[in-house]
Amino acid sequence: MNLMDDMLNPYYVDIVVFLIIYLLLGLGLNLITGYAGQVSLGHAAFYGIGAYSSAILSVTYGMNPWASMGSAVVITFVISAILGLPSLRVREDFLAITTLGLGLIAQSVFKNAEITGGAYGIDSIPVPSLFGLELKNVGYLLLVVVVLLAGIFVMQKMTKSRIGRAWMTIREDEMVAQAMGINTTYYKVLVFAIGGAYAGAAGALFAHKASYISAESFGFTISVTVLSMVVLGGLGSIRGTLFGVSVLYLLPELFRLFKLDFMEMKNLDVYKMMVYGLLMVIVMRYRPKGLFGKTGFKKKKRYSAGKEAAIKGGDQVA
Amino acid sequence: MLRIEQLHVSYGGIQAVRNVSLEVSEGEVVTLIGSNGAGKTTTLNAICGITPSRGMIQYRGVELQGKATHNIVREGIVMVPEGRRVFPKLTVAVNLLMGAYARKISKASLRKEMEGIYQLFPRLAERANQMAGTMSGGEQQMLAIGRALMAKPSLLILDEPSMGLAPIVVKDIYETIRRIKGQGITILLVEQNALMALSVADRGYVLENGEIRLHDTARNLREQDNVKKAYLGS
Repeated sequence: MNLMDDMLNPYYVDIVVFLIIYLLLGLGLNLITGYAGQVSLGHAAFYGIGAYSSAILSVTYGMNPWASMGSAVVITFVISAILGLPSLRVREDFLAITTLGLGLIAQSVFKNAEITGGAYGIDSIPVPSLFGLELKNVGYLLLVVVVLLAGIFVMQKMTKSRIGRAWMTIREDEMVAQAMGINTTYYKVLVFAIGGAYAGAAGALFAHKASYISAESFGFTISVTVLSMVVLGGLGSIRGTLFGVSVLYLLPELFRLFKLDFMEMKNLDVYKMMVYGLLMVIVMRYRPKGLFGKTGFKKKKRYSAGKEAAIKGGDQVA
Repeated sequence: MLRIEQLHVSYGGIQAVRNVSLEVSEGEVVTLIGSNGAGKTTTLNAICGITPSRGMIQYRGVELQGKATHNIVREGIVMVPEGRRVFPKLTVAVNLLMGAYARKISKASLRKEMEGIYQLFPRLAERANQMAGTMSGGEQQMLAIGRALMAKPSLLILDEPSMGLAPIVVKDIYETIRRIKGQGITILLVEQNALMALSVADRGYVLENGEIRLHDTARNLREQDNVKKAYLGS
C-alpha cells in the first residue's frame, strides 16, 4: 500500500476521491429528481447531515469510524425521509423553493448549533483503518471506489425493479400512478430517503477524508452544482450522471493544470460558475434532456425484441 | 354494488357536487351525462378518492370514504381518466404492464391476460413496442382502456372515452365498451356525448350544476323531450 502511495501523486488521488464523492451525491440526486421527478434544491443538506453525523459520532462520542460512517448513512436515510415529506403537498416549482429553504435552514443549523461545533466546525476527524492499517491516499481511494460501485449496482437493480417503475410512473403522471394502485406517498418518501442516504454516504466519506468540516462545505452552491451536473448528464440515466459529474468536476481542475496567464487562480470558483452556466445554456438549447437523456427510457431496447419479450418483461411486475 | 348517498364536493368555496346519490348494480352499465362543468369528473374523482368529499360511498358493503386512491384500486374500482393520460414515454407493452401493478400474479397469467388485451385491441399488438405518446388519440384511448383492464376491475369507470376523437373512432371505442360489458364487467360511464352513452347504458343519470336532475332507464331518457333538447341536439 505504501509503495503505491509513493507512486501516485497524492494530489491526483485526492482529486479522484473527491470526484467519486460527487458522483455519489449526483447518483442520489438523480434518483430523486431524475427517476422520481421530485425537484430538489436542497441536496447539500443531506450531504451535510451525513458528514456531521459521522464526524460527531466519531469525534465527540469516540465511535469507530466504520461504525460512525454506517450510522451516518442510516441517520441520513431517516432524516431525508422526514425532509421529503413536503413533496407530498407541493410539487415542481414549489417543491424546488421548499427544498431550497430546507437546504438553507440545514446549513444555518450546522453553522449555529453547539453539537456541530458552530462556525468552527469539527476537526481531527479520524481516518478509518483496516487490519491496523490507516486508509490514506490510495487506501481511501479503494474504499470510495468500492462504495461507488456498490452504489451504482444497487441503483441499477432498484431502477429496474418494481420500485423503479413506480418512481418513473410517478414522474410521468402522479394522478394516474395513484389510479394504478401505486402508493405515491410511500414511494415519494422512499426516494427521498434513499437518495438522501446516497448523499449521506458521500458526506461521511468526505468528512473522514478531509478530517475537518464546517458549514461552508454544505451550502446552496453545492446543491446547485450537483443539480447542474445531473441535468447536464441527463435526468434518469446512471451513465449520464457519471459523465456529467465527471466532466463538470474535472473541468476546473484542467484550468489548474495548465496555468493560464490571463486567469487569476484565486478566482477559479468564479470561472467555474461561469463555465457551468455557459454549459448549461448550451446543453439546454441543444440537448434539453441532457447528454444521455435522449432515449428517455433505457428499457426500450429490452422491449424491442418483439411482443413475446415484452410480455416476458412482466416477470418483474408480477 | 356501488352506492353513493348525499355526496358533496367543494373546491374552496364553490360547491361542485351537491347531494348526489346514485347506485350501480352488478353487471350494469350506468352512465352519468351532463354538460361541461356539471360535476361529472368531480364525482368520479370523489369515488376514486382523488378529491376529498363528504357523504357515503359504499362498494360491495365497504365504505370507501377516507380510503387512499391506491387502496380503492385494490377493491376493484379502476378508472380510465379523462383525456386518456397514457404514459407517453413508455412503450405500449410497459403501459399495459403498469396497469397490473397492484396485483400479485404469476408471469404466466400476466402473459395470458396481456394476450387477451391484444385480442381485444389488435392495433395495440401491432404497436407493442412503440412509445404510447406517438400513437393517435383513438389508439391511446384503447391503450388507456387496456391498461385499466389489466388491473382486472370489477367496476370500470370510463371518463369521457369519446373526448376529442373522430366519430368513426368513437364508434369503435363504443363497440369495445359493449364487448367489455359482454364480459360481465360493471361499467360506470361518464360522457358529454349523451346519445352515444345512452346507446350502451342500461340506466342513466343526468347531472346539471352539480345536482342530479333526472334518473331513469337509458331507453326512457332517450325519449324524454327535455333530455333530447338539452343533450341530444334535436
